Amino acid sequence: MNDIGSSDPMVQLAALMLEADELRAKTDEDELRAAQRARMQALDAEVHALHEAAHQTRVGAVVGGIAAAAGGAAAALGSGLTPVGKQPTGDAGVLLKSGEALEQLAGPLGRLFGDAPSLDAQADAKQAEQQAADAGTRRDLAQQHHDRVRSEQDRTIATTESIIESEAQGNWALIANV
Amino acid sequence: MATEALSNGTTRAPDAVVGDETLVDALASTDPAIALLALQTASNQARTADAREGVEEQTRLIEELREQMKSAMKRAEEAQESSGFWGDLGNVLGGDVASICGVIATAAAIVASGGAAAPMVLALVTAGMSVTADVGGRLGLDPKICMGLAGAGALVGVLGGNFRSATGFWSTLARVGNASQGVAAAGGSGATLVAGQYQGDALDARADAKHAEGQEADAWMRMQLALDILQDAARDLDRAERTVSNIESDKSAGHSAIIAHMGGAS
Repeated sequence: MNDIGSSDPMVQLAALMLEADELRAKTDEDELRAAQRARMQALDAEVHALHEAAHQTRVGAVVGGIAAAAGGAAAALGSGLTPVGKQPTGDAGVLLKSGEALEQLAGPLGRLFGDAPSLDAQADAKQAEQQAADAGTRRDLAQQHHDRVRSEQDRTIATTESIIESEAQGNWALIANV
Repeated sequence: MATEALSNGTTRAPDAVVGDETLVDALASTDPAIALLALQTASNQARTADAREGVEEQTRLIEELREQMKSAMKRAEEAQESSGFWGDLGNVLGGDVASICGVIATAAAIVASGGAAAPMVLALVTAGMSVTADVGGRLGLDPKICMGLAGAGALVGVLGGNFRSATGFWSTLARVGNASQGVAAAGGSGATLVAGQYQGDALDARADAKHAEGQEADAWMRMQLALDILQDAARDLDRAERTVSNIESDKSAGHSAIIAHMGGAS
């Protein structure tokens, strides 16, 4: 790209600088794209983890709800089978006690099958979010560096043009005065 | 003329297109500098056309994704509200209502069984209901509820006075209380289950919003890249134009120097 031909060492140096800047700019562009890809992958992972958390929340609600409903029904049946004023015995007692136990277990079961996995998934989502943020920062840094390199290129080209122009004017002045 | 036309084309906005005829004329120019500038202009036009399409496409995509995000956020909010309602309902049914039913059933069972503590239990229930109705009324509780509580307290008091003859009623009340407790607990569980489903929906909607947000950020970046390409193209053209201008200027200076030299020699 920088095909500047001149015998002037300053201009040759400028050409080398431009080539180096061009390489740096390309590297920045590669880094920018890689960081963006990493960011998108991390965001996908975050979204997947959030959906997983939602699924686990539903599962927990179903498990807890079914356990509580079954426990409540069993306890009510056991209680209904027990004569008023008597202690529940036999099948009625078993139904009542197991129903009460199941009701007590409904909350922990819901947490075990729902809240705990859901919180795990949400933690994964948080981690992925952090990774996405890191990748975003890398991308922004690459973009800033890229912009700076382009700006340096502009300055180098302006200086080189000025040198070449001065050289040309000097040459023509010499020719005119010979 | 070709230089002027090209200059006009290159110094316009980056999305300006130099006319094909002008470009062909310039490419056919005998001046290598002009031909080179024309070549660069043609190359840039091809490059910027894709970039312009990219910018338009990404702008459309950003608008769509923004709508999707808004919609997902709205769904999340609605699901969260529904979850809150059903969760509260579950707590009330499974907690307060079931407990009250249990207490009523227990008290009724004690009375029905003719226990020694029956009159005391009835007196306590009667007093409790009356006091609750009175205090509730002062605290701004719904007057209908207060009236209901006061009426129920009076009924319990009347029945309590003849509890020996109303054993059947108390037995039935105990059974109804037990059944109601079970129904309330089951209803509470059902409401909690529904609340969990809505909570899952809210999380899903938030995940959708996050997805749309990520896609929007990606679209922004692609648009930025396309704009960078347009900017680079404009800068390249600007440089090329300056270079050609310098070359022409050098030529002119050279001619002047030669003429000056010839004039000096003669």
